[in-house]
Amino acid sequence: MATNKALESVLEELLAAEGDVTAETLEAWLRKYPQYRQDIVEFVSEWRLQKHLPEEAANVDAHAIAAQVLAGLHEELVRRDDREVPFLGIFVQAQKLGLRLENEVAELGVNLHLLDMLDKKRVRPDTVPPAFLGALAARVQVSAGKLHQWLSEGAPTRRPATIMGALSFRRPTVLSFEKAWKQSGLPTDALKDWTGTPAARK
Amino acid sequence: MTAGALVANPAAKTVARRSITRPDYVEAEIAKASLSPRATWLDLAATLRPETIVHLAKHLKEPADSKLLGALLERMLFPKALPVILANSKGLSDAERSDVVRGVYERILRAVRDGSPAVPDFLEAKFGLKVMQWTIDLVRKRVREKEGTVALEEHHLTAHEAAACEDAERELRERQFGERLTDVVARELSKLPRWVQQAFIQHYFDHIPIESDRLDAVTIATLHGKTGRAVRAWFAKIRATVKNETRRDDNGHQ
Repeated sequence: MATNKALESVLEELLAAEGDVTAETLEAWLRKYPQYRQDIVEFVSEWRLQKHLPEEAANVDAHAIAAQVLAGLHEELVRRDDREVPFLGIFVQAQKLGLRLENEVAELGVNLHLLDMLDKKRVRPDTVPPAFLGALAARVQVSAGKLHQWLSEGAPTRRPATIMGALSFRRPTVLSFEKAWKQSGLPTDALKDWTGTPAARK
Repeated sequence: MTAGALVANPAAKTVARRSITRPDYVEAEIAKASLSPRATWLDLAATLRPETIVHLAKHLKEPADSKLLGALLERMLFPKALPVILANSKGLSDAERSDVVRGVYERILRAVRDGSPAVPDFLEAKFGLKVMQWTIDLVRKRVREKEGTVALEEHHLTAHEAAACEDAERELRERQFGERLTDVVARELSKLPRWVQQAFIQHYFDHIPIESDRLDAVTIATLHGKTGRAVRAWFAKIRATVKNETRRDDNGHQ
């Protein structure tokens, strides 16, 4: 049965599978990915040829090529920085990137509750450990500086629509990272992975 | 935590669920590097594996990082990729190999510049294999563009000749092949169309049969879209040439 996978990933899988390419293994690959038959045949044929050809000296100016390839790097990063879209929040950004938040929080060793508190800006940014801030920023693909700035801007407050609403209105509590961590039900010991010290009891 | 230091939660690795995961030794290096400020990364990189350097470089996204990113690529990653590129672009001219080197360098740059450190890719998991993949991919595309179909006039082999072929093949395999081709065979092969070179290797080293009674079987003939007779004719020509060349070399040495 054909598997819907990008050619790039198929070739990665093929190389990572290791072992010799026999008629049987090649047949299995072609049966699995008939849509890439030509590419797989070309790739494998060239791969095997390269493997068995003797070493061959080359006259290639690698330094000059590297310099050419890297020539516009700074300008490119400046361009990207200029046209970068505003950061609209952790959940919005994750949705935009197609990230599965369950996976992201698991890999960070936290939970969705804590992430929700951060997304609602209910955590004081100055108390967030830099290591955690950086890890979270990397996952949602923004700079740590930008994430910190966004957290510092404070949560937008919605004006109550009714008098009763106004009377009962309370600004959401903003907690320290440590308190937010505990309130999220995360194990206290795990906090030291980010702070380097065990959480102090208050 | 040191300013500018990397960010990695040591606990995170144990729950990684991505389809591509970094090897343990890379994770260990990342955890170690996470304690170092960025200013030290270039010195540190000399002791790190390329997969770890790829991961570090993926953090460098801002204009202020361009110098460090450029240095990591130029002084660390590109030199580690170069031997792999050259080892997998044999049989091309120097100009063509330079183009392949440029192409692979560009792909490394793109992968590092556009990739996220939070999403491990194959370059972070198996740097050498990924570079090899890109190299072969560029080489095969170049070969496809360059080579037209070359047809050798088919000739009919009698049963007796076919049997003689098999014997000669066996003899040739025993005499000429180790893990790699001898210089004589490689030299003679280099004069032939690429598909013939590839077919020859696949037959002798990977033991893929020239033909099969089964219609859907993978054979040299089906892989390269030729008839079994044409493939045999090419192989017979190679055997004859190699035999002559080997004899000439042997005589030259005496």
